[in-house]
Amino acid sequence: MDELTQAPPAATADSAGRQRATRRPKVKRKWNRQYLAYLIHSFVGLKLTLLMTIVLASGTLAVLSQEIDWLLMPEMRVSPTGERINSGELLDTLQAAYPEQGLSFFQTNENHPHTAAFARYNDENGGFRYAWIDPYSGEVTGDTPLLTVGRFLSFLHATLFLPVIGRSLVNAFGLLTLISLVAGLLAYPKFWRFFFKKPRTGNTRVFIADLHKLVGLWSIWFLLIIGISGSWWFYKNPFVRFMDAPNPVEPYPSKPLLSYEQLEKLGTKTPTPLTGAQISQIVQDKYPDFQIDMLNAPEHNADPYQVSGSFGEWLVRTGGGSTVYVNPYDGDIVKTIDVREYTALQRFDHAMGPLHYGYWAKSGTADLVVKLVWFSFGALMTGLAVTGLIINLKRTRRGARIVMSRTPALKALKKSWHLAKPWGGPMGVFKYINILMLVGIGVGCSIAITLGSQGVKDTGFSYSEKALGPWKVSMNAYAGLLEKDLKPIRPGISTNLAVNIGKQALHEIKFLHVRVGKPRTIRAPGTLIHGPLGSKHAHFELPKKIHDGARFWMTAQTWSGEVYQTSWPIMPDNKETFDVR
Amino acid sequence: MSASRLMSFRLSSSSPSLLVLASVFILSSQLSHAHSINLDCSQVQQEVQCKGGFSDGSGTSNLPYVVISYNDDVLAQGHSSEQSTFTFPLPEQDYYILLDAGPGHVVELDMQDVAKN
Repeated sequence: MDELTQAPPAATADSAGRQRATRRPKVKRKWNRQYLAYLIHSFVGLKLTLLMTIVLASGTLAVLSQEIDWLLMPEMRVSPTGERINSGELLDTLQAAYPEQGLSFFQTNENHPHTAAFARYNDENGGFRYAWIDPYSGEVTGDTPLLTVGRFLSFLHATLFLPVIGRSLVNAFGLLTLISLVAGLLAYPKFWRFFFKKPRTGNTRVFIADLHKLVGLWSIWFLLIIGISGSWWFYKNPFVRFMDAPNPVEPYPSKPLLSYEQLEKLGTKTPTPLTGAQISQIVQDKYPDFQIDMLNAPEHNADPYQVSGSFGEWLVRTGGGSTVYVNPYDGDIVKTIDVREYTALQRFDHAMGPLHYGYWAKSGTADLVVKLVWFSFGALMTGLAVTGLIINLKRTRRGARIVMSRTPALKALKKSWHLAKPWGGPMGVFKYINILMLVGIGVGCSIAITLGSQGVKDTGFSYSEKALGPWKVSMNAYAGLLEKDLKPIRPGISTNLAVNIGKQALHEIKFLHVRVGKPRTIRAPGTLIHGPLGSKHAHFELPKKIHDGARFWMTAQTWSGEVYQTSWPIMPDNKETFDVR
Repeated sequence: MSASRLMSFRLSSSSPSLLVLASVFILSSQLSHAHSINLDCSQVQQEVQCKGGFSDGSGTSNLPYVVISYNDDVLAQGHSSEQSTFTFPLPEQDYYILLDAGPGHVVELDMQDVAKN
């Protein structure tokens, strides 16, 4: 910190020998724990400061992402007038307004009375959108694109839109925050005495340095929360996720499927699934204290209806609440995952999200107040990064000016080279790392911004319309939403199959599968095609060897027991399969 | 399209924007969703070691396996371990493996697709 670099006290009139005797120990003292801590603190703050500032500033804004979107988008805004409509009924109403698109992940927003309920769907191009409904009047308020300003900020903070390393890199800043905090305090002797010390004015650099320290001291609690949660996520990603490090958190309960017996009981006629209103009523009857936050209709015929929410538990991350799985045909509860039964480590793991992003107060004024506190301290933290950089630059600039004043021309040239060479300047090689990352973030952002308007229909390889029993079916394979130009069929990769099949067919078909090669047994006909109406699809693992003449085989099994099959050449032959890239 | 559709992409250097996309949707992947089942087996000396998994990353512990000859004889059967693995002696006949994770989720792997280590 600043005191360490201030000039030593003026020499007294003692002898030169005494001066030498006092200087020597000073040189040694430079490498004591305090100075080392200062070096670490400066290194963390200076070398990656540009990236750190982006992470902190975007994180600060991301705290209010939902509120920002709420202000910008009238579709989200509602006025609480009377009682809320049953959440399942709301979903049924919203679904009726989008008859050709299956809605998924319907979120009630019950914790946010001024915000509409919403669900996700795929538009006719195959891109994501969100549909909104007023939970008091039942009026559909409209739909919005995938990438809103708030969501953009959240994604930017979480990933920097950098491929692969983005999330791990952001998480690494959590550890750096923690290190910086500890090193900063170690470098600040008797820091506890300075909580109420007014910054010294007169000299800009000294003022900024004092302000930096004062803000740092009052932000200790917040830096600990951000640092610990970020460091926890850093261990999980990349170490647990990509490097097989031991995961101390016990596996979470998995999502169930309906059993063979439950499906057999339904007989040979197409069963009629229960409505959203009936499902939510069943859950409320069974668990009167359960607040429904999310409803997700089955994506295939062995998939239970998923109803997520809260029994009142705190510190649960978004989308990770207690969940009740309901048989969509007879209303039996298949499984209940109660967050209150989680282990201490699972609860700790869950708590990191709400603590980091400040949404732990859940609802009402308290939620907004907590978020504003998080936003304020986030802004202060961003200020710490910026002022830290300014302090460093001012300090090095002062030194540079002194040198420059002696031999201007040659020194100017040397200075330019010093700043430009990879290892030169205050940030050294890290300046190029920062610049490279910033370019990457810029490119990532521009790619991401195009996401909302892109779809996957009729892209990649197109498998022409064919008869599948009494129905027609076609599909296309694509490598990714933004990968339309890449070959979607390559040995050993995961590809995506989007299947176009009519509503009537889906009513009568129990299971629809696809595989490479004709199924050996009807018991294992391949990969299950699933998803909401209008976006039936399969995530398909292609075999490591694809033989010449290999074909995709599609198998439909109806509720009444009929089996229908059709097939296409995997690779384009310009007769049945076309390359439409 | 569920979130798993996006998260199940293989991360490879040949598809940078795919990786961007995967990272973009990592938040939405926190919502649970339908998933596909995969099976990988490899031959290690005189035994075959299999490991199943769902596309959302969840395991396949305690699920029934059956190893069947081309003549429809059952050669081996059992359940996967807590670590989602299943091991059986290398059959002398031609065979295929079935892993049954429930209705619509039965995966078959032919001996031709068993990796030789």
